[in-house]
Amino acid sequence: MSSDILLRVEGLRKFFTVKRGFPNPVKLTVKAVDDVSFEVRRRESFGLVGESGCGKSTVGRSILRLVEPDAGQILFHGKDILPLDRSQMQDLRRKMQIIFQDPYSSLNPRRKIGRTLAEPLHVHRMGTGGEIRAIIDRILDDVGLSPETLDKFPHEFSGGQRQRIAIARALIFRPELIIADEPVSALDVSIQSQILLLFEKLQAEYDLSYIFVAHDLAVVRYFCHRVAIMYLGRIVEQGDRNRLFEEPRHPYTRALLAASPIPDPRARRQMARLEGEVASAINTPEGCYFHPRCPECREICRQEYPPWHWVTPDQGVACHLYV
Amino acid sequence: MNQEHLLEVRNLTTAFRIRGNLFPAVRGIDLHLDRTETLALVGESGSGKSITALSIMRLIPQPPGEIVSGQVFMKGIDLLSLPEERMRKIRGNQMAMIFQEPMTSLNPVLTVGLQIMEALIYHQDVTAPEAKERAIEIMNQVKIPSASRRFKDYPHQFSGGMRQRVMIAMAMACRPEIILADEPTTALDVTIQAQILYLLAELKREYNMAMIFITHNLGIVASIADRVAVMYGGEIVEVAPVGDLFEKPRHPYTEMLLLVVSRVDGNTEKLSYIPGQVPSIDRMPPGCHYAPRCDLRTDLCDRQDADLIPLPGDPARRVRCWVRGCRREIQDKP
Repeated sequence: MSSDILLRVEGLRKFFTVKRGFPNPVKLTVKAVDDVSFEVRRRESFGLVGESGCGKSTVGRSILRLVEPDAGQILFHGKDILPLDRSQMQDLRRKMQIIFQDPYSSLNPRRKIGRTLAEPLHVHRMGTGGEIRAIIDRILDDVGLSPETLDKFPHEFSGGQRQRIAIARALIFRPELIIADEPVSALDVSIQSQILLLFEKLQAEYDLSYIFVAHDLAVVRYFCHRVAIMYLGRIVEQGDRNRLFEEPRHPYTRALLAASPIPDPRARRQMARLEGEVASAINTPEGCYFHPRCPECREICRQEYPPWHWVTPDQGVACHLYV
Repeated sequence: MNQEHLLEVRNLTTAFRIRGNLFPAVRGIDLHLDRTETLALVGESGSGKSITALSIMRLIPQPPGEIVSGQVFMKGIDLLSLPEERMRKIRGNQMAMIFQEPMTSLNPVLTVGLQIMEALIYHQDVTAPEAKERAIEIMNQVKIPSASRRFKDYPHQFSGGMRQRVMIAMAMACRPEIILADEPTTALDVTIQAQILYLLAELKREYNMAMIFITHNLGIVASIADRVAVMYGGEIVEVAPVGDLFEKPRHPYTEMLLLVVSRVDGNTEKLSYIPGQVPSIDRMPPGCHYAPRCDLRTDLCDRQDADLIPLPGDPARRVRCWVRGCRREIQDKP
């Protein structure tokens, strides 16, 4: 069982300090990620879901150490990567790649795609010019782009094609894990499904695991095997996709599901409304962070943050209702 | 002329000048809106849904844009032929618009209270203290907490959801008969989106307003619309009552659109996809705009665009398709 686990995140924490106010700024702490733990299995798609500011992207970036976590462990193949030095980390990043929401801002606009794709291979001396070209041609074909792509610049492509280029770049070193940060959110629906289907195909062909960071529950339900729901820097519920969507436990998960519109007028319902707004990760409430908006808030919820509890072996929740 | 419609758009074409040439961004738009009705305008980016709304409001930047032809009748008056001063009396008064990004539509250096008052003072015969009182009342109606205190706050002091409430308050200030909402919840988190959709529905009911709601989200369409117009490549390709559209889409594009969205209720067996991409306005195909991506394409589709015509026996549904439309009634579903 444990050999099945590719990545394990334990007690991850990242706080940022920001200055607010004028003319006398005060330093405030943003609890972006606090005590986050989960595992990603081989060939699995793991969804990290939440509303803006919940810390889901920070978790994704921490795993690649693009932001340096304050505490916790990130075990890749059972080995903690946080103590690794720069060059060790650089080697490891071949095995872990990231794809962002907006591929346009992550591609160099003045470089032809061919050069963008070949450069990492040259840097790591992965072969002769001809060998490198063969690797790139193969990957282009895998992501559904023609060889002419190589002689063009990023602006010559549509959003969907640029996302394919970003995926091609991520695949070059045949990684084991891809962190995809809202990879389809900026795309039109007809293009979204093209990219999701591509991710699925590549998962099988390249034996990939994905951490899929997203806010769209419908996409996550379709694509991910297991899902974690985040609220204000913490995971409030996680588990198997079907269990989580069919029997959501945490009142926040339920509220998210109830607020997600279903493309079927027969399912039209009184859209459940969660009162209030997402609190900020600067002023997290006492007790359970969700209690000010929770329809099932009790006295203890105002005082103590609820402990984590596995309701079943494949569904866990941090909520006093289940303790 | 059909007097019973509150708003009627006929044969509207709006074009943009790109490198000296005029390209239509929307072409031959025909639609109508009845009292208290919610019409959803659905489409992907570049389909022309926002341009349609901006043309109705006469807010197309000119140049590079230009309304080339068409009429927009509101209660029998053609808005496109009115002098600008008269249009200004209608815009924000009888007809108001809500935009996607409130931060860019609100003036950052004026308090939100003043911005809500502005429309009242301009359009209605009220004094400043009266306008202020009304503005606070409206802020309460759109459920901005402690409205009288927040009246003096600036837009940046509000969250995204609250800013959208301010936008709605501005639009509602003069109790318009028609609201045009252009993706008003797209930038918001899903729990806040639900709050705003609920608020709009509530206000609409209370004031007997009609609404054109622009969105790309079919879930929202299913939740709020009475009728739906689907747009593709600058044209309306299908119009139908919401139930019919989802149950039995006729245009191949609508049909595919319903098969490519993932569903939160899990009724997605296998996701489909539409090959290719939305054409840009300077490279529109000569025939049916959807033909290059369509499974049912015939030679005729490549040569000539179809008209948007009612289905036989079902005048409430109109389809722009050689194969699925009425002109040559072929088999029902292949």
